[in-house]
Amino acid sequence: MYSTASPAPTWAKPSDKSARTAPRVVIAMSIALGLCLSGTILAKELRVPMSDAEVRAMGEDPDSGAFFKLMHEPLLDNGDQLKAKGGAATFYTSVAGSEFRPRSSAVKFIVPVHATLICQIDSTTSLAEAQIQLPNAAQLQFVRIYASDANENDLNVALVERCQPIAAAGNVTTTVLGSVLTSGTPGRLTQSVGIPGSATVDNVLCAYSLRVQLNSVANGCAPDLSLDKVRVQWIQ
Amino acid sequence: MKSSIQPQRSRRAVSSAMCTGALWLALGCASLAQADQVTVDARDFIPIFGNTPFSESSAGNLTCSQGGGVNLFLAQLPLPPVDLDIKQLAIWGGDLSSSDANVTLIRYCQSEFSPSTPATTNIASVDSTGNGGNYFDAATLNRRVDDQQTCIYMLRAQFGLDNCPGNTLSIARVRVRYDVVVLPVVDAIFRNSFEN
Repeated sequence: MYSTASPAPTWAKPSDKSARTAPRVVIAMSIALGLCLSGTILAKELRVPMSDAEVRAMGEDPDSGAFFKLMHEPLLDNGDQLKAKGGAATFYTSVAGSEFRPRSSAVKFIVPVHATLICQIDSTTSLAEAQIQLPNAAQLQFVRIYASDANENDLNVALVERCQPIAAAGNVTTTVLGSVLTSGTPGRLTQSVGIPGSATVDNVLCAYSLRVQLNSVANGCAPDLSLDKVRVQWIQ
Repeated sequence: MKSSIQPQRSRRAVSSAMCTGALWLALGCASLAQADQVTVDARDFIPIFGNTPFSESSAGNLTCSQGGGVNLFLAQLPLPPVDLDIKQLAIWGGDLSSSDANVTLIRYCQSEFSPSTPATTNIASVDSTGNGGNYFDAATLNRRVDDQQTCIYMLRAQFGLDNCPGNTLSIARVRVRYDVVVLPVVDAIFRNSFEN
């Protein structure tokens, strides 16, 4: 509340009605600005730098650019089951396992049935990637995987955003928007992770891809791990 | 007399109006379908086994390598994420072989939220005809696609029945024609329903 002890603004007489309401407007605007700033800060806080170990675990070089990840919000896991299915503005883009291209050692990746991606254990890499085409300004909601895990090693699928300056040379800024990690040996599975905040597709600056790791370690593939498809849920 | 004629005229008028209305409705429904197509270059196909040799023909088409084993290749069909009616599956390539090239449009569906083995449906298939060189072949169909929430659509290319016949058989590209389904919205506010 406006304090009567405070000096009256010089731009209005104390008796003026607008002078009495102006501080309230200022306070309201300040609160609104504060909320906006806190929202911005909250959004920025969702994006945290990745450790060098995390970057190397992705098969990337920490010195090759900036690496971030969005903070995982466990409450959003499998949240797409609770949200309205379909609807006028909800869309799904799926990528088959066969669309993933290995980082190297292509001959060790196979898709024998159902377009399911499998990697042979003597592969030099367990990582494969597929670009996903999403419309500009789409708001990303969930990443759901359909896979099989019958091995003590786990399967990891991440939705990755890679951005560069609009028309200038520059390192890539990588952000892991969401990552689904299997656990145990459930056999066939489907599970999802929510994209925290309101990550929006920016096709001007960024490219989007799905990165799968068919092992718990970067080298070699684990047996009995396979990826049928990955589905990204988005709204517009 | 007058009163007995007027209802007949009225019935004729109503009948005529209904016919006109039906015609306009039909025209309106027809105009709601938006024709479009997606083309997959044969270079986008990958062999189902990573160690299967394959190559580009002298014409720039995809061929398998004779003696290389598997003659099957896969590519995802990148349909737009909306409801649509698939109308045609068409293939181009080169055929100087006694064997034929085949492309099959396949649907793999899985339960949305529970673990499941993909269910496979062969939707359409088209073979190369003859062996006179360049070919174009197409299959017409009318298949509603309204299940991309749970299904993916793939193209499987096959060279020869059992074994790869070599570079005398190739695929250049595959095209799928479709009509985008635009559901008529009678009530723009509640979209033909009420929120509860």
